[in-house]
Amino acid sequence: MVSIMELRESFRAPFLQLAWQRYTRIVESLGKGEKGEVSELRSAASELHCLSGEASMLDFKNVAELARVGEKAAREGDRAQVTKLVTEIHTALKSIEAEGSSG
Amino acid sequence: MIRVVIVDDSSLSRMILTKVLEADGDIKVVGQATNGFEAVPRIQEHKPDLVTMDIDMPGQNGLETIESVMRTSPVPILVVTGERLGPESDLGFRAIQLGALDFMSKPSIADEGSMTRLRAQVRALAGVPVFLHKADAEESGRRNYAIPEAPPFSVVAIASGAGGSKSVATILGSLPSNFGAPIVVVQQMPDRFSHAFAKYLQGLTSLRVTTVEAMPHDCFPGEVLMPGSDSHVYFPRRGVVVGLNAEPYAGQRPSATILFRSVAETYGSDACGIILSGTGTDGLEGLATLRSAGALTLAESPTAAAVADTPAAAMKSGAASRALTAQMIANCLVSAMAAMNSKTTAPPSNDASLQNLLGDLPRK
Repeated sequence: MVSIMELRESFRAPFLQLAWQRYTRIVESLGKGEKGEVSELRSAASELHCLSGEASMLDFKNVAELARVGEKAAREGDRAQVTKLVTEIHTALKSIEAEGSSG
Repeated sequence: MIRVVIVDDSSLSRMILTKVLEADGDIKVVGQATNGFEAVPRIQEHKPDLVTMDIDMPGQNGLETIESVMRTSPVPILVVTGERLGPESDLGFRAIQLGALDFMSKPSIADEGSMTRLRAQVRALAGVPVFLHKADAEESGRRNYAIPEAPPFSVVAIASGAGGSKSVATILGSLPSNFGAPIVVVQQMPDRFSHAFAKYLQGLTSLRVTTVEAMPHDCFPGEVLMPGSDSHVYFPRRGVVVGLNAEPYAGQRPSATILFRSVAETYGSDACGIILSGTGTDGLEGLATLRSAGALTLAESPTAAAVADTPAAAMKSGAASRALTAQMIANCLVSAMAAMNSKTTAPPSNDASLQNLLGDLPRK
């Protein structure tokens, strides 16, 4: 019987790899100019939606919640809020990375 | 061994789902599709017992994919998806309308119960007979009846489990706005989806859908009543319904058995009880009580129900007097009222009287 901790540990590396890829794409979307802003925010919302779902399955609650709120802000077109939340997601991902290294 | 194909655009989700599904050793993930377009060829290649389907996918989304699968290579589909299945969303019910058997949220590894529930649902639904979907197939079998103003029975109680929400939609969608009795529906599903289900049904029926809360509610003919959060549905007296905040009965809240018993005590033979698709035993005991009281009791035909367990048990135990498809149940309710109204205004002796009506309806 595999414990929850072991299960989560076994998925930490693939989660982080995918999460950083999504993070990069979100940042790129936000970094693009005013033109096409709506579609870029929609793209960011989609990435945040996936990130939230994946973090939720692995019980990384902080990332799941930040991404969920970020998705909502992106769908509402609140670029400033998305940018703020993405910064917090960066910190949260670093923290998950650090937990993995110390464990 | 139960063979499963996972359709999900997230590679990590597919990995986690595989791990969760295969944990007990009796389920094997035999194939994966990363988007809707890949799903049909993967299903045709592997011929799985069940497909888990994500909804939010780029390109062809899960709903479109379900429709396409059910029209080309029908297979039991369990929607396993993310947070859009919240209380305000009807996505899960739309998926069922398109041919999925049931839906649930993606499991969390921190919640052992969510992983156990996923495996249990896969076991319950794997291999369930499903049919090729053709446009308007059901519509062509529909029959029209004149609608009376007075009802032959004063209440209809419906219990529905896994795979049954589509049948509930079929029945309610077929009843006219002047239907002469209130209809109470107990649908087994996670509590957080109950309001979304009520909202979804309201979009399909001309009848008014009401959520029953703790305060006594005077129900009226043609009103669809559904339990509110974490409560049973109970009739303290005729025409009055309340949400009963009590412990689950035999693990279920709302419990179909509590509903049926309450209807039997309050309405006696002046009622109709129906058990639709589902697993488990909830409602069987109550339906038997209802039949003993002289009420008309029907089960969804096990050969037509998405999940046959409960309706088959209702027929086998004698709790249900007759098995009909969902559409035929709706037709039966409508025609029973019409015929009864033309004969008498007294409470009907339902089984005997309906025998005549049922005689001209196609049998399975």
